[in-house]
Amino acid sequence: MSTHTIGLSALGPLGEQLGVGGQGRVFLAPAITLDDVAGPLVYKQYKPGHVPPHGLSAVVSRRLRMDVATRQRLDRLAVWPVRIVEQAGAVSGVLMPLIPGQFFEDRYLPSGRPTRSLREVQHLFIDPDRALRLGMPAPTTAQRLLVCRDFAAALHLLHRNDLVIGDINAKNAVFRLDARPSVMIVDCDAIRIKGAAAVVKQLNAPDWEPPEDTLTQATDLYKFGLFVLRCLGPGAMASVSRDPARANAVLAPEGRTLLRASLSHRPADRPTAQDWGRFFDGLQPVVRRQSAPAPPPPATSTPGWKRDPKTKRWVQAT
Amino acid sequence: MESEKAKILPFYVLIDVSASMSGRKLDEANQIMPQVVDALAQAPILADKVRFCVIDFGSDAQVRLPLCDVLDEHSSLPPLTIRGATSYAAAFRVLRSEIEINVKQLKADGYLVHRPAVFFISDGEPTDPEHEWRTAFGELTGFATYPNFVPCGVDQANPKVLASLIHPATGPKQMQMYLMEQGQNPADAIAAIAEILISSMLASGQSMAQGSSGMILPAKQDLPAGISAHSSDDFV
Ligand SMILES: Nc1ncnc2c1ncn2[C@@H]1O[C@H](COP(=O)(O)OP(=O)(O)OP(=O)(O)O)[C@@H](O)[C@H]1O
Repeated sequence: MSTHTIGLSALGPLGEQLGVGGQGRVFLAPAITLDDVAGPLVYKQYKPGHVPPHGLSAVVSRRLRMDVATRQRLDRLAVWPVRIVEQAGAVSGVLMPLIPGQFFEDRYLPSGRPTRSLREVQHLFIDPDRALRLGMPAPTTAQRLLVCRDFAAALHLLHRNDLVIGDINAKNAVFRLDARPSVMIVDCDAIRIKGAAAVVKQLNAPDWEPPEDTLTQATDLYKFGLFVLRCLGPGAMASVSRDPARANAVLAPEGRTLLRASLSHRPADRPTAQDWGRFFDGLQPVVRRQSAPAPPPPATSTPGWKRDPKTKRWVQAT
Repeated sequence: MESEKAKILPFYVLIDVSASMSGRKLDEANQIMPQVVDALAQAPILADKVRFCVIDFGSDAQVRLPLCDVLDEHSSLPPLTIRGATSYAAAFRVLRSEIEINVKQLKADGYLVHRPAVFFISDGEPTDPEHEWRTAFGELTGFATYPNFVPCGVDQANPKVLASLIHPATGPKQMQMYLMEQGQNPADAIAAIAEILISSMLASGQSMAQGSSGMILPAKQDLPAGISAHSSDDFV
């Protein structure tokens, strides 16, 4: 067993189950700490038949080989698999850092049910008034530009290290607005090292398909263009839009040119993450904090539902 | 850039509100709409893909929630109320006419429209004459924008009758029927069916892309307890 692999027993007793996905279950692993990981760890246990076929150890090793400063930056921008977990000689799952609490939003759903939601970037794409009504933040344009800037920086770091994200989409990056607005890539399963095969087959999410078939850093750049467009031009149909004009109102001419080039069908036309980063750095927007206090939940016992004219939330009719 | 047309999946839920539904069954049925809204609030970009409509049927059928984006500020969720008998014919006729109007409207608004999806939830047998509801069903499934039709039965629903409503019944895009298992509580079964229809709505909306059928049903191993899935040839 090498340094990038540990035995299941080394995890000690598992904690609370945090979630279930198509690929497996995610548990807190409170009993284990690692020198190279700052915060708490979680264990993702693959469902039978969902163990990634190959490439996982290369992705884990790549992180371990980074110098400390780079590794710490990587850990801030991606929920990277930090160890392979084996049981009886077979891969049973991976250890990953716990997604920090700042990427979650405590809110009430329209029915009044309280919930804790990962702040997936899809919430940036919808109409800001709607986002507020649903208990999610509605960032200002300045904050959106900062989120884009942080995403560009993340992408640049990954690309500089010969990595391909592959599947950038509305759910596998999350954002926070406190302190410095930033993003974190939360599903690293589709990450690939340039020149090697992906851990799992790299796929395109619906509405994120690039023009070309093979996923490369150039398709990451195309998908990043879609992200910028949808984040800066939120509202109805933003999540499926590919029309760069949608973001005209908030982009200076240079930014419009970058966006059009990002969505070019010719991979060579697309600006790099660094080009984008320089553009966003040059904007130096002023950040204003914005917060909407959550209204109290309505009662939930009678059958009819209507909008409260003041809070715009669903309440049960009496 | 080329301008692409956005694609919309119209999703219809038909709910039996005949006298036998009163009590806890109706309470659970009344939870379906708010649960759908909560589910979409957690995946809000699906509002760019899915429109939702609720029709209830008893002695007649009524559109309770006209096809809409349920996250829209101005949509409101009406209560379902009990209305006598169980007219499948009325349900099928109102559904057909709604689909026709809605699809026309969506197309006029510039959308591509996926084949509509229907979950049909009943707790009993139709009270109208068989030839009448069969004719109405034939008209529903015999026109160009016929829906993918998923019947769901609880309590006294007749599996044979419901199995005959699965549409398409065969072929690569065949639908299924969901039935409450023997001995289950019917109200719990309605809650479980709500879970299935929500996961179908989410999966269908998420996967909707060029060429897909627009309707995905959960895998059998992912069904909630107390519900079984059947295809049209399970009951003869
Ligand atoms: N590192 C983490 N920290 C905290 N919670 C996590 C972490 N990873 C996953 N989760 C929780 O577990 C859930 C399932 O995880 P995840 O989405 O990675 O599984 P998956 O099998 O890849 O899912 P999918 O079906 O979306 O591919 C997530 O929605 C999230 O709530």
